[in-house]
Amino acid sequence: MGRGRAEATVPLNTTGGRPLGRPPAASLFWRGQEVTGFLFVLPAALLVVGLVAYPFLYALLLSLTAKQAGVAGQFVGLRNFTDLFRGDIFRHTVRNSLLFTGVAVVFKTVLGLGLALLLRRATVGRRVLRGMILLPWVVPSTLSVLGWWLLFDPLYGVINMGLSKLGLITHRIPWLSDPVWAMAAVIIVNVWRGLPFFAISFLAGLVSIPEELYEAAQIDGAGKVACFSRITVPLLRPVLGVIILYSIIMTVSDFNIVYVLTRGGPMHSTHLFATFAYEMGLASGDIGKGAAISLFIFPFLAAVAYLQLRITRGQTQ
Amino acid sequence: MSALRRRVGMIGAYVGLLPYLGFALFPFYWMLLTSLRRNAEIYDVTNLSFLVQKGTTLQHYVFLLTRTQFPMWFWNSLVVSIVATGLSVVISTAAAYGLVRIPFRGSAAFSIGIFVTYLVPPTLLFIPLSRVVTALGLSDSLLSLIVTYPTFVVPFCTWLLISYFATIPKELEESAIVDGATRRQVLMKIVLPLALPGVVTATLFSFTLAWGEFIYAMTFIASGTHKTLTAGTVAELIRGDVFYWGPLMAGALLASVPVVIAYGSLMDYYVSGLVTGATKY
Amino acid sequence: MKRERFRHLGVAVVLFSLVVLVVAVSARPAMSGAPAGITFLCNSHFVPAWEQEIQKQLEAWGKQKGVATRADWVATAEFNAKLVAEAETRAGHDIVVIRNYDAALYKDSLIDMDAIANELGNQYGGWLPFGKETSFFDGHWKAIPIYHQSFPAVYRMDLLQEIGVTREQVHKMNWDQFLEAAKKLHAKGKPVGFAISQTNDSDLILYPILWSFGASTVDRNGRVAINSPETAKAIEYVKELAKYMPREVLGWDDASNNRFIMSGQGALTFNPPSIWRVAQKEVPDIAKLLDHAPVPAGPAGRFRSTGSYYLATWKFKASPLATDLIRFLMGRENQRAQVEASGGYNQPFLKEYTTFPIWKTEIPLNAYEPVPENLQLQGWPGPPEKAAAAQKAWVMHIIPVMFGKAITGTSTQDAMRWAEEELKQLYR
Repeated sequence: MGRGRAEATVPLNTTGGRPLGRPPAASLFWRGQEVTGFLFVLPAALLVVGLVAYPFLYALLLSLTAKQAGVAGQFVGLRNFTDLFRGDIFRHTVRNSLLFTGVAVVFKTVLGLGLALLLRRATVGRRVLRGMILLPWVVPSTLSVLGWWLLFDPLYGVINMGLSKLGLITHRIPWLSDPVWAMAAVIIVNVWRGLPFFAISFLAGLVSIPEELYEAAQIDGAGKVACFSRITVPLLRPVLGVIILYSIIMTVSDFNIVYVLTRGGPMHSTHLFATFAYEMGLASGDIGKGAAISLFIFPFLAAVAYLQLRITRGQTQ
Repeated sequence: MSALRRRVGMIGAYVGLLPYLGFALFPFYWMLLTSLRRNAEIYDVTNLSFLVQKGTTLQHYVFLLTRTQFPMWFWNSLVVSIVATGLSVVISTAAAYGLVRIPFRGSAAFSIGIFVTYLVPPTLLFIPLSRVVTALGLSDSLLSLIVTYPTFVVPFCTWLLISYFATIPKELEESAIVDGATRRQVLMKIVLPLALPGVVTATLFSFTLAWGEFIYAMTFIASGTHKTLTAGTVAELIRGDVFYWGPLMAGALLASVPVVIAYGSLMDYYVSGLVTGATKY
Repeated sequence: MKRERFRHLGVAVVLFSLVVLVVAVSARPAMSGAPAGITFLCNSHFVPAWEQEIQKQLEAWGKQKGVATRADWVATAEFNAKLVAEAETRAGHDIVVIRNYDAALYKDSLIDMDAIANELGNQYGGWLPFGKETSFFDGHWKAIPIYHQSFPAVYRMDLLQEIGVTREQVHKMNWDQFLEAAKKLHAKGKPVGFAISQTNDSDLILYPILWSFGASTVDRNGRVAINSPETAKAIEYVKELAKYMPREVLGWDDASNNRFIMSGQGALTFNPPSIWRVAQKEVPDIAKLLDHAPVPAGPAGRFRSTGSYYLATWKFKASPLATDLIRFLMGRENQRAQVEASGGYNQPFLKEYTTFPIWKTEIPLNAYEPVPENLQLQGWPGPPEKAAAAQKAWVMHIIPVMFGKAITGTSTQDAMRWAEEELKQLYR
């Protein structure tokens, strides 16, 4: 994003920095169009202000009240937040969210990179191939997760059956009834869904690295591993940064997967911020608390975003 | 690399892809299987198998298409996704172009603002948004979704297109101006064609998000005929503790068709749209 | 060549925009909001036939009055969110079917229904006590109870027979005998099972267990009373029982016990007749062997819990038409048609209606209605003012989580203390 900003800054003062031979018409073209620029941006600005900024501020206000559904709420300051910290369901939620996001994103990154490398080589029938790989990501998640539910079901689930036929397990794995396994299950489904996005994005990044770099390195006697760590990874860093940041945001605020698979259970061991906020605010009508829970994601994400920007910008400079 | 080594490498790549493909596609295979099985076999726990044993049946698809309002929901989802996508892409493209090429006071702040908005999760905005939707008189209509879906699509697409536009050399446009082209000609003949892959990516991305959206669709819309696919399927085919597995899986598969078609035909543009967009930092 | 490609793309863009326009224009009817007439909101019913019956009755009434009617059905799991949205935005349906303690939660947003309530009560033998307890707040009836669906035991007569328990004995069981039967059934590989997880079914059996041991979440004054020797006894009992139930019950959802019985793997669970009815269609051989029985008795009595449904109208939607429609739907003939359409699933709140023939002629339903146990809603015995807190405790599944913790290694004392802390926050 910072890069976009740099690009957008055109010197308004045309006497300095104007390359020789550049006719004045071009710079006038850009400079005198501030109003046009504003107009171009206006629809997006209206959308953001009216449908994001205003609701966000309203939600902020709600989190400071004890509002219940259908009833006017009175101002209670930070009480919702202190209550949340005292309750251990919320502490669980924080831990779950961090664990879920951390593990899922790591897997998606590593597996995504591997998949991208493979896809780069597999050029025959690549359209169909990439299409098949993208399938988990493009299908509506509430419906595809229902399919996973059937797979994890203790009675009808075919995963357990398959694993035991292969001789890998002797007892049925309690996928959705054990806190640890349930977390594993939602992570698996999240990775299943997000992997295509990572892979295709990394693929795009890989494709843009010029072959000549690799050829030159090989002439200098570099092996595969060196090629990877000295050329591929550094040049992919911007993509990695962007995709990982986006994924962290989407993963930590994920709702559909946990909602359909476990509803946050068993015993709150898979609750994420969004599902817990839903349970509090919309299922039990405690809107003030629900808003407070949702707000927690925000500073966390802002911190992550800031970090990512620093790292990415640092690399390209 | 010699031709033989390259070929071996490629075969190795395909072999390496098998587990990934298996992982990605197995759930769909199972869903397909369930949608074609008779109910007796679906509920038979003693005889789980990877193939249909007691004869395939199309009854679930028939049920879905004739006894539920599935076709209506399909159409609704299509309408909402297409229009919301069109809207989002136009807004994002305009904003991205404006921010990159036509800076004005405050455009930098606005860029940051756009970026910040996609940190705001939909569950947070739920109640206030439904207030706004009602105030605009859009409650229970598809317009409520068309108006609100861009809120989570535009930030990402704008940012994607900003980086994409930034890679189109300014000189290209400037020399066209020098040659006497008007702004409109510059936009239509030079910028848009070059930016098309990025726009395609933004379009596909937006369509995917709109197509699969659940929470807003579920709560802004109540009447059966106005429901979208995700909300309708869940409401009609999951009744408390009774699941209609066959039709549910059939519905899930049919719901995948449009997105698959879209991606299938535009795949190459999608990848190239990401190429220049994300990597040229 | 590049130019051609761009042209080809340009054409695609133009076509796409045309498609967008055409679709937007042709979909205009669907863009319009709610139509005129009376609108009715309800959650998807387990039995589609009941929904059709309601549609029929709405149309019949509409024809009489010359008014258009429309019924909207929302998925059960998302129904609460829909109610919250309607209450908050002050826009929605003329009649909403609310559940459990919603009348308490939304009492300030609902119109008074005293006239109809008294009229119906006088005409049809009076209301079940807990019907009034969950509808009467701030001195007024806020909703009209229309039906409830309670949770008796549902079991395989043949399997219980095999371990030497007759149908009569099942109908008179206490928890000790139940445990004995559970042990034997477990040994046979066909155990009993009920959810101990974050799902509605779980609360609906665990609360009666607590009550039958003399325990409860709050006392009559609304003070949290979960931390008690009676609760400890209930926890110890369930811990013991859980050894003979499948481990998966800790992760069951509302449909798991249905699949449990229908697959033939389960001998007994607690559920309304949805399992039996669906089995009749899908696995008739098992359905023939199913029966419903009262919940076992504990030292403090025999209890059953239920999910209840009420007709209500938002203050911002008040109209004489809506009220008249409610009166119409609650009439005797219409109620009987609704009950039959639901296959006997819907249980009435008006005493005279509990004598409808369907529950006598269908033998497996004999113990379903009339309800032989002490029928209560989960906030019992707390006072009406604390109804909102009781509802929250249910939605957050505090009681199932407490039992779940105790079963998975937390000490009984710690589990109770945790529940006490959480409940105190809600019952503040």
